[in-house]
Order: sequence, then C-alpha cells, then structure tokens
Amino acid sequence: MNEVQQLLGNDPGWLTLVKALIVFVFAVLMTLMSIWGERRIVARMQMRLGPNRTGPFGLVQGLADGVKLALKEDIIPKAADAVVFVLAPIIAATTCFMAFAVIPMTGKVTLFGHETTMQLTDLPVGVLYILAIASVGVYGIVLAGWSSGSTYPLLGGLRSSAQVISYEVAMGLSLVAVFLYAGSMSTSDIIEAQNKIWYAIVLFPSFIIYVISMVGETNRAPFDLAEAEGELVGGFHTEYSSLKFALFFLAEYVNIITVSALATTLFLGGYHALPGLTFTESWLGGYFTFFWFLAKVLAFLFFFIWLRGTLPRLRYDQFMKFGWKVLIPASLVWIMVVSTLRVFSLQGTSRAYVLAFVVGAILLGLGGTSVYDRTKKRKAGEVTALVYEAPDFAVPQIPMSVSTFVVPSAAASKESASE
Amino acid sequence: MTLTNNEVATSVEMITLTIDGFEVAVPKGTLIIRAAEMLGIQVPRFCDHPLLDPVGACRQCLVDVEINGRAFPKPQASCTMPVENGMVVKTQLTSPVAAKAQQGVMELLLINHPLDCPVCDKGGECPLQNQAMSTGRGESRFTGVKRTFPKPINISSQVLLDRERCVLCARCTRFSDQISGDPFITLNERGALQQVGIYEKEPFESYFSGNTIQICPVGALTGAAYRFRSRPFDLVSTPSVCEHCASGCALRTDVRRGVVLRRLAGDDAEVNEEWNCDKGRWAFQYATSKNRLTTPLVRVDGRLVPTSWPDALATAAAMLEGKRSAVLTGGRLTVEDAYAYQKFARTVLGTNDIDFRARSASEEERAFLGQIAGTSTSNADIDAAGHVVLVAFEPEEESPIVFLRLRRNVLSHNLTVSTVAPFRSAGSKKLNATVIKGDEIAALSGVQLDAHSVILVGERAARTPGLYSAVLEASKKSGAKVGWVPRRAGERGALEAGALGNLLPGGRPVSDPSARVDLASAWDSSTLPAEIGRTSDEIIMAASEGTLISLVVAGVDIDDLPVDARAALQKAFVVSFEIRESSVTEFADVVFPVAAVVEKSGTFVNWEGRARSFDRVLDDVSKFSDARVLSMLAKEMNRPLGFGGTASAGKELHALGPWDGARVSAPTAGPKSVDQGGNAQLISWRMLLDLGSLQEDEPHLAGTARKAIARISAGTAQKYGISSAIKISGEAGVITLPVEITEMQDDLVWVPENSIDSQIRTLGKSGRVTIGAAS
Amino acid sequence: MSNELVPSKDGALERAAQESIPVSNTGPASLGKQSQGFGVTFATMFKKVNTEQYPEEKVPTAPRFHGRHQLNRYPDGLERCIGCELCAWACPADAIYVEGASNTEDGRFSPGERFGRVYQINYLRCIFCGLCIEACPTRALTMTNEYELADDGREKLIYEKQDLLAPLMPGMVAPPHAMFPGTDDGDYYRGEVTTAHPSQGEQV
Repeated sequence: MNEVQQLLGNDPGWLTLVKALIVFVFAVLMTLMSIWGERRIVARMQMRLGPNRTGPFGLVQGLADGVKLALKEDIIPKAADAVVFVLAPIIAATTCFMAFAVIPMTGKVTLFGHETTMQLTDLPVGVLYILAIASVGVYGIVLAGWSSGSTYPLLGGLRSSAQVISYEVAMGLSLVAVFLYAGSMSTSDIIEAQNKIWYAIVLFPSFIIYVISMVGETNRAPFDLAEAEGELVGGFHTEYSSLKFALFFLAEYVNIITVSALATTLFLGGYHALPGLTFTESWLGGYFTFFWFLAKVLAFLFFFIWLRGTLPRLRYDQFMKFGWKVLIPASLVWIMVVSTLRVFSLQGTSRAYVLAFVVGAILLGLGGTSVYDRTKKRKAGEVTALVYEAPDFAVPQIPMSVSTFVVPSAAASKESASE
Repeated sequence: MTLTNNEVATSVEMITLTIDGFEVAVPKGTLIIRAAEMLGIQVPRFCDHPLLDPVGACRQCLVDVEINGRAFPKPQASCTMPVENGMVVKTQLTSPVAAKAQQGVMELLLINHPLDCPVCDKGGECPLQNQAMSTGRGESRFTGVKRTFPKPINISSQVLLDRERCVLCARCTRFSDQISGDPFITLNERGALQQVGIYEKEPFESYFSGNTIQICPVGALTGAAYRFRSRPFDLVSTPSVCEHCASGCALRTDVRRGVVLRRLAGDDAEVNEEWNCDKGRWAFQYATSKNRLTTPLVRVDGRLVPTSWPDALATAAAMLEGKRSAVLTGGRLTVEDAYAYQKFARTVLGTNDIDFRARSASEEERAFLGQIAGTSTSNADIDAAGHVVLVAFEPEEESPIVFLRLRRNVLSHNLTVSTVAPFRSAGSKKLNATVIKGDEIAALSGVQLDAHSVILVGERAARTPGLYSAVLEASKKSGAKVGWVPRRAGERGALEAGALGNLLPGGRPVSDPSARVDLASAWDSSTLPAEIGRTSDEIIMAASEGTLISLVVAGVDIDDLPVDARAALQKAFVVSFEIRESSVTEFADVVFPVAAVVEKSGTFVNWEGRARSFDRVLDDVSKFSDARVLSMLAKEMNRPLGFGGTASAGKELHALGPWDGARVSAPTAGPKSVDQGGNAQLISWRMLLDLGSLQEDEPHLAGTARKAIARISAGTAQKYGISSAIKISGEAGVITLPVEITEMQDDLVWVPENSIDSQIRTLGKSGRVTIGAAS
Repeated sequence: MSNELVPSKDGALERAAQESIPVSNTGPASLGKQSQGFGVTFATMFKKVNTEQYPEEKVPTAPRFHGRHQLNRYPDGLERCIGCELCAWACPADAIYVEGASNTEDGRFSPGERFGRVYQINYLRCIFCGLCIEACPTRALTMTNEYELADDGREKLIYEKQDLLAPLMPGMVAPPHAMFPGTDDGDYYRGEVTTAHPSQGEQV
C-alpha cells in the first residue's frame, strides 16, 4: 500500500462517485475534442480547413454528428443475433471507460474538502487491470462482427480482433521493462518511480515498441485496414447504425485516449512537470498537474493524428508480420537485456561488466542487421535477370519515334494529287 | 432484285471475274457494281438503283477495269457495265486511280452543292454525306461562288424540290418514267443550270411521288409532312405493314417519342419491291386526330358520357345478352381481330349474322369468296402470266402496287393487259391495256384466256350480278388463275377468319355439319348456329325493321354501306368499337375505344393470301386491340372466348388449320335490279386519294388528290348540251363538276365516288341520275 | 516517320529487351527519408489552405468557363438557332431535345428556312462538356459563366428555349419579324447584318 492507495482508500463513497463522474465526463469531452482535433488537424495537413460551419471553428461538429447518429434509424439485420448485436457495442464502450479508473490525472489535490488525487482508484496491479480490460474490449469487436449475420462484418471483426490481440501482446511485453524498473504494477508507483527521469528516455526501445503497438491496438492508421471502407465496407461495424454505431465510434476514440493516457503514465511521467519545471506542480492547489497530464495526452493525440495524415495504410499481412515477427521478438530481446541490466544494478556489478555487456549487445545487434541486409541484397540481386520473349505478333519498334499521325490512304492520295 | 422468278427458273450462265483480288462467279448480265455488292464491297454511287435501268449519270461509281489483260484507259462506271469472263476490276480499295477518280467526281458534285446539311432533312441518312466521308477528299479546291436557285419550291403539295442540292442523278425522273409512268418531272436546261423541273402548271401529282423522296440520294426532294420534324438518330424504326389497300406493302414506321413521324417503303421483293404509294406513305395521321377516343362512352340521356371500362362492359353485355344481334366488322381489321369478332358472334351472340363488307355486296359474292378462301394467287403468278384481265378493278386507284407490278411486267415481259371497264383510265393508259367496254359479262366471255392468264377481279364486281360467276366460269374453262383484289387491307383476312354469314374460319362452309362440328370441338363449345347469316344489307334492313335488336359495329363508315343505315342504327342498340368519333358513334349506345394499327401487333392478309405480320410500333398499354376488348366483353357475358388478345387469337386461328373438305357451292347470279328514273346511269369508283376517313388530318396528301371530274361520252354531251360543267341530280342531292369528254358508252356518267365536290352518297342510293348542263 | 507496327526483324527486339532495365534500390527507404514525410505534413499545417469559403467568397470563373448554355441572336434580334439538332446529336448525355420548324412569312424566327421551335436542355443530364458548343454550325449555342443552377425539382431543371435565349439587347427587334431587307441567310451567317432595319419592327 503506498501513499496514494492509502489516500484513495479513505475516500468517502460519494466522493468516489463524483470522481467517477468527472472521469467519465473527462473521457467524453476528450473524445469530442479529439474528434474535432483530428478533423481539423488532418485537414490542415492536407492544406484545407476542416469543419468550420457548425459552431465557431466547427467545434460543435462532433456533437452534431453524435446527435445525428442518435437520431438515425436503428436497424437490426434479420440474420443478426439481436441480443449479442446490442451487447457488443456496450461491451466495447464500457471497457474503455473502465480503463480510466486507474489513470492518475493529477497529483495531491483537495476536492470538496477531502484530500485526494484525481484517480478513481489505485490497485497494486493497476496496469495488469488495464491490460485485462483491454482484452475484454476485444470481445466487443469479435461479437460485433459475428452477431451481424453478414460476411463482411464477420471477416472484418475477425481481422480487427486478430490485429488487436497481436499488438496487445507486443504492448504487454513492452510494459514488462517498465515493471522491472519501477518494481511495481501500480500506476501511482510507476509515476513516483519517474521522479528523476522519465522512462521514455531510460527505456527508449520499450517506448518505441509501446507507441507502435498502441497504434496497432487501436486500429488506427497506418494499421487501419480492417476499417478501411474500400476493403471490407466498414469492417465489424458495417451493419451498425444509429446509437450503437455511435458507441463504437466513441469506443474507438476513448480507446485512443486511454492508450495515450497509459503511455503518458508509464513513459512520460504522468502528471509530473518537465524536468526543471517541477515548481509548477504545486500551482492551483496541485490542479496544475492536470494540465501537464493533459498536455502529454494531447501530444500523443497529435502524434496519432500526425501518423494518420502522413502514412499510407499497411496491408494486413504486412502489419501482422511486423507485429509478430519484428515487434514481439524485439520486445523479448529487449526484456532480456533490461532484466540483465537490472540484475546487474541490483547486484551492484562493476561498471566494466555492464559496459562490456552493453557493447557486446550492440555489436551483436549491428552484426545481425548487417547479415540480414546482405542476405536481402543477395536475394534481390538474383531476381534481376529477366528473360524477355518477344511475342509472335507485331510490336512497336523500340525506340519509338512519335510524330504527326498521317492516315495512310490520305498520304497516298496527297502524293498522287500533288503529281 | 435483279433476279426474278423467271430468271431463276431457267438455268443461268455464270461469269467469273476478279474484283479487288477476290474471284467471284455471278450470273451473266450482272452489273459490276452489283457483283461488288455481293462481295460486300460498296462502290459509291448516286444514280445507280437496282430497280431502275442503269444510266451512268453521276459518274461516281468509277472503277478500274481490265479485260483479258488490256486495261481500259480511263476508269469506267461500274453501274453501266455488265461483267465479262476474265474481267479484273479494281475498286477504290485497291486502285489509287479509281480512288482518285471517285474523289474527283465527289469534289465536282460538291462544287455547287449548298452547305445545307444542318437544315437539310436528309442529314444523317444522306448517301452524299456518307460517301463524301468514305471516298471523298477532305478539302475542296473550289474558290468560286456556288450557283443558287430560289428554294425550296413545291412541285406538289407534298413534295418539295430544292434544286441547289440536286446532284442530277435522274433517279426521280427515271422512276417517274420507268416505274410509275407519270412523267411529271424531267431534267431541264444544261450545264450548271441543269435542274429538275415540272411541266408548267402541272404539279407532280403522281400517286407514287413519295418514292422519289425516298430514292433521292440527297435532300433535293423532301416531303412536306416530315419537313424539319426530326433527325434519323431520334427515330425508332419498326418494320410494319400498310393498313390501307390490299397489297400489304412492307413499311418501315419511324417514331419519335411516341409519335409516328413518317413511314417509308420497306424492301420486299415479292410484294412491293422498294415502292409504296402515297396513301400508304402519308395517310397515318388519323390515329392521332383530335377526336381520338380515350375512354369508353355510354349514352346517357341522349349524350355520350365517358365512363369506366367495367361500367361500359356491363352496359354492353346487357344490350347484347339474349337479344338477336348481328356484327358488322368493316374491312379494316387484322386477321386476329376479325377472328375474335366472328368467334364472338358465333359463341357469345349465337348467330351467323356477321359481314365484313361495308360496301356494295351481294349473296353471290359470298359464295364466290367461299371458293377463294384458302387459295392463293400471287404476284409470282402475275410475273409468270402472259395475259392479265382486270375485271371491275382499277389497279392504280384501288391497289397501286399491283398496278406497279403489272406495269413492270408490261414493260419487261410483254405482258398484255385487258381491262373490262367503261373507259380508258389513266392507269389503263399506262398499262397499254385493251379496254373492253360494254356489258361486263359479255366482255369477259369474249376475252382470250389460257392457263397462263390471270384474272384480277375487284370488289366492284358485286355491283354487277352474275359477274363473279362469269369469272369463275371463265377460269374453270381456261385454267386461268383468279385473284380477288378488294380495296381494303382487312377484307381478305376477314374472309380467312370467317367473318361472313356463310363461312367459318379457313373457308369452312357454315352449311356443312362436319365443318361446324370440327370447329365446335376446337372451340370447346357445344354447337354452332347452323342458319346461314345475313349479308350486310340484310343486317341493316333487319335492324331497321326491328328483327335485329342489337348491332356490334367495328370500323365502318355509315355512308359506305350499300343501304341507308342511319335509321337502322338509330333504332337498334349499337355497340361500337372505334378509334375515334365517327358517323357510327353518333348513333352508338356504347362506344369502346380500340387500338389503331400502330398500337397493336397483328397480321393482315393481302389479296394474294399472303400473311403480313407486324409488331406493335407504339408501346401504349392503355390502348386495347379489338380482340382484347371482345374477350373482356365475352367474359362479362359469361362465355369467355378462350383467348385474351391478338397473339393468342392468332395462335388459335393458326391451330385450326386449313379446311380440306367440300367448299361452299358455286355462286349463282342474283336478280338484276334495274333502277328506274333519270336519264343516265351513274358509275363510279373510289380514287386512291379522296375523302376516306383514314386519310384525314393530312392536308399535304389531300393536296395531291386528283381533281374530281365527271366523264361522259361526246354523244351524251351533245344530247344534253353539256360543254364544260355538268350537273348531276339524284334523289337526295346534286353534284356539279367540270366535265371531260371521254370515249365511253352513251348515257353513262362517271364521277369519283368519294372525292371533294363529288360524294355520290349525297345523291342517294339509286344508280340512276339526271344529268344536265351546269352554268 | 509514323507509328507503324512492324514485326520484329532479326532478333534486334529481343536483344534490346534482354538488356535488363536497371532498377534502382528495391526495398524500403531509409528511416531518415521516411521521417521527411512527417516533416512535410507538419509543415503543410502552416501553409495557406486551398479552401474557398463559398458562398461568402465567390471566386470568379475563368473566361471560357463551361456554365449554363445560351442561345444567341444576330444583331437585329433574329435567333441564330436553326433547329438543326446537331447539338442534340453531339451530346454524349442526351441532354438536349430539339424540334425544328419552318420559318413562314409572318412567323420568322431565324434567317433561312428553319428555326428551333422547341429547344430544351436537361441540366440533370448535362455534363457541361461543351461538345454541343463545338457542334453548333451557327454559333447559336455558347456557354455562359453561370454555374449557380442548383434547384429542387426535376421539371425546374429542364430549361426551355425561353430560359436559354440570350436577352434582347438595345437595337434588337424581338422576333418574329422579317429578315433585313435585301439580305439572305448567307449574309447573316457571314456577319454582314449588324443592325436592325426600321422596317423589321420596333427596337428594344
């Protein structure tokens, strides 16, 4: 039980409810804001404005879309399993809100006279809880695809869920390094452990792997093939309309915010200020930390949007291959390195051994990649010898001369006429 | 087209030649241009036409010819040169000389041709445009001023001439001269001023002037009725059959947005070749006239009121149920509709009182028709004949395509034509016919006939008792063939369908019990009425007396009927099936609107006995055919006909098959009714273009009708002091007409039967009139 | 020198083809090059947008913009359209319906024999390609720069002749009226009739 857990444990029930409400409202507002932000920012990246007609700067656009979706006709296909059909979006939506329960949004603050933090609860296995919840969230997708009673949603659902769980594995593995360093799975402990230096710097490879897998987990560009309309219509949510569709929409964005918040918490020091600006943490009665938290989450959101605006879509097999054949082995190797280094630091091994180990690891890595490159080049070189067989019919002269096209009979008549 | 039955029958000598490297064998006498067409090589041409004699006027069809190794020094016109053995022909496809020659001729033709394509009716279907694109030069070297004429000028009310566009191919003049025999147009002047012209004050009033419009390769001759109405790409074309006379010409009907805009002659070598008459070409506006019926009408308080179909059907059923009724179908029905009418009469009304003859008719004619039904005398028989006798039949007025065929055979095969007629008509002149005047029966017995002769007898033979029998006698004695040529398209078909009081379908006699049983079993009905039905005048008499209570009347003009039908129609319940308001609907109690010929599919049987099928041209599902309405009425009367429309009616008739049993007994001459009174005998026949009801609403066509004149002999004129105009008085009215002295018997006066200023219905029904001079 | 198709002669073609075309660098670009893409999108965020704020700002159209059609007149008011249906013929979308009719003595709408009695363009079918303009022999049909044609009914978007006719300018006489005395349709076509004659009627 650390300090935060004790603090939160003393919360009266009504305060917990209030905080739950605040968390919920925060998640929904962030969703609206991220929708607006995404549309405007992607538009700017494409040299155009986004929505600017509904409300000033199009701020009300997200709300308008939500209301529109709510007012649409609610269709349940005849071949659909109605119960599961309705249940799936509910599962998807609720699980992503639930993940927010253990995210610390501020440091110690006073709310209605009680000293507490803006964290709904803190578990000793907080991050594990989040991973578990995310796994349950996959059910939403799978059940949606299956219960639609239609081929495209089924295929889309299977694809989406396969993608999600693959990248979840990579995500989980990247977090292992964090646990090793923090020594705990509780979110508040991890934040505390980042007092000196953020794990994004110390565990940079983990950070990279986590960022990539969080994009893959949330079905976002460039890993959004399962949702791309040209591929499988709408993927798992093809047959959904009205409010249920709105719930999926909501679930996707809340998921993005959740994984961003998790990244902030685990790698960027959560609500802690930038190193050197720690004096700001006590402003506004401790509420200023919320802005630090928000800034980091927004930075991740911008990163998501930036990726979407820049990168082309990866093919399904390409990113599955990437997830399983690159990310997971890399994670595993990195975990082994981290654990070795951790053991060294815990056992107080001499610098020399640490240095030797690190240099050895680096040399091994370089050697491996160069061997890999050379095999690839050799394979590519074998392919260049093309055998071209000219076909039997007439083909254009190479090189071709292009000039004014003259009709043969007219040319003949011109010649004969000029005689 | 160059091969007729005659030529195929004898063995043909074949010539081998090479065209563009392809060796081909063709019959001797084939022109090079025809031989090239057989290979699929189109040599451009303007004056050449397969049905006209070659003339080589336009010089467009120039090809390089080589015979036995010696090449002709200049390219030759392929339309005037017959093939020879060993000839080597190079067209524009393989010979640059021929190509250049053709381009040169095209360039010359286009020198004076105006830039009229946007305003010219021929644009889009113009051989000059097409051939200029395919075998012409891209640019002209002419920098002068084109010669102009004032244009367009009317050479008749129907045909417009644009002399600037004329390429002087002489197709129109050759057609008028060779085919129709009406040399009203010629090529006048010379050089650049050469132009088509008419005789001064003699407009181009030929019954075949429309064909010149169709064969003109440019927009020089155009029709006033179609002027500026449409472009070829707007038109949907459907092959169809003419509904006017009994020739059954093949036509092509062009429709734009549900409106029939024009009808062209279709190509049918056995019937009409590529020609039709002006009436068939232009008289189709009746179907869209202002008084076209769209809803059923029922007479309420003396007025015809529009009503619904169920109401009208119920009212008509009540009028016909259990009452003695008769059916007058008229001669304009398709075979399927006529079949429906006669089946309706026999199974629903239980009577044989049905007659399709809305004109002078006789009992003798019915017996004669019983002999004709199911037989066939065709155009091929005319082609093979050495002598054709026309009895009570004016081909140019009553069946123009028969006239064209007779004329063609007169010119090419030395056919002799004799006509039993009161005087030498214009048509007879053109056929070089021998006119046998006087008593027709005696005249017929004096004519030389043999097995190669054909007797063509018209419907007017019914006016002379004994004439039909005499025709049959003459045919039996000599072995000559007999062809019956009625005036209307539907009469032969109605005969085959059995719409007569003494005949069942296929020529089965009503009086033959086995025929009745045969039919009854085919119709799944218990019995058929055995009593021979009345003729049309008997029907009308019975209706005016009250013996017949109801009448079912189809397309009939009251004044065509032989007796005055007004009283009869007034008295009886009349159920009328009509296209538009007519003289019959004035008296009708229930009126059903039916489809015109363009709105239904069906078959006309032409005078030869040849079935001429056509598909519907306009897709207007609100118009029902007569057969369909009759089947609805029969269902309403609980005696369904067993078919729903024309297609199923036609199938049923076809399934009945021909009758091979005994025929109706030969006709016997009826009593000769001698009218008394007056000082002259009135004779008349219908002109092709007159006040017939199917020619309404077409003023351009009406403008080309021949002016009505009266004909009397010189002796008669002297006797009554008639010089320029004659006054003819009958019981009911007076006609005044200009007079033409004609070589004919005395005390006879001939007037057109139904032309402007000359409608003999106004004189009354008697054949005797009083003539006198008119001031 | 022409694009003739010739069969290959004595293997020259095969030899030419078998010299393999060098393909440079198969494989993904370097990380540095790929990151440049991010820079592009980031920098684009600060560039001026292409969006036009219609209907507050209406950007003027190019001079030869393909807008609504117009049926032009001659300087004396007679219509140029001769009802030849060439525009209907050229239209790939079948948007034009024309019926021609004869000019008569007291009902003359265009010089020459023929005028367009019915002229309809269905703007629900028109694709504004301008082929009809190219087809018109008398330059009767041209396109204006008007593009604000949106409407809410099918019948409203079938423009009739009166909707498409150019307005009468000062100096023109509204048809029907006779041609300029002493001229024929060729003179009109060559542009020799520049004003209306008083005998033709009252000028606008």
